[in-house]
Amino acid sequence: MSAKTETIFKILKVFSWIVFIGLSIKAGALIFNYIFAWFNPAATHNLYDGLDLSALYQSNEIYYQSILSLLIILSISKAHVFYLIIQIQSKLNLVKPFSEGVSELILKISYSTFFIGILGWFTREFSRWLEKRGYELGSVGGYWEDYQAFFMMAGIIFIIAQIFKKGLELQNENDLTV
Amino acid sequence: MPIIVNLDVMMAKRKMSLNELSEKVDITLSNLSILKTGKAKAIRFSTLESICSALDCQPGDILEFRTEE
Repeated sequence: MSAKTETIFKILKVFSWIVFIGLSIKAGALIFNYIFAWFNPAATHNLYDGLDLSALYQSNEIYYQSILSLLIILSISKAHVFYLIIQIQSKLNLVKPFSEGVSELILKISYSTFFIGILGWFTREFSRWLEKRGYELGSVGGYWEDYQAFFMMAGIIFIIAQIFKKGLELQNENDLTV
Repeated sequence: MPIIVNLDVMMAKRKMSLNELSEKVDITLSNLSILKTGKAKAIRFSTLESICSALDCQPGDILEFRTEE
């Protein structure tokens, strides 16, 4: 592996850790405030980074719980994807890149991103449905507006996973060619 | 697999050990072992040529086709 590639890998590793920690903090803060708001409804004014669901909480608590649960699942899923990326980086061996473990992780990332896309789309539709019925959701849209990107990512990663599987077969065959 | 590798038979006929063959054909012991145990998925013509030359035999003496039962 060249020095340049090694440096890029190190930078990517640090970057992935930063994103993973950031997303975990976000998911953790949402979970904490979700529980905290049960005892102190005033917390619904600022659940995380200006997320204000107090109007929805006051008008319909079930819808508030549903939206917040979806946001929490979305945040956890995004953090999970970056956790898988970190795992890939620690398992990847560029001398023999094709391994069963990495292949499985790539496929898992593909499924996870697809799940995030589906969940993002569902949450968007649900919030639109709520807004049509006059419920106020504030600036919550930022949590799922990237769902199309996740669909595209899932598709691309799935193709990469299939290519990787083929690569694994070829590598095994090459290893067993005398 | 229907292709059987009879390398051990030929080695026994020529009274040659795996180490000796490995030195003669310049193939690692682990690779020869893969071939001998039938785990190999493919064999290069160059490898076959060196083995045949070292054991003084034909490719057909080393490889055999048997129908699966």
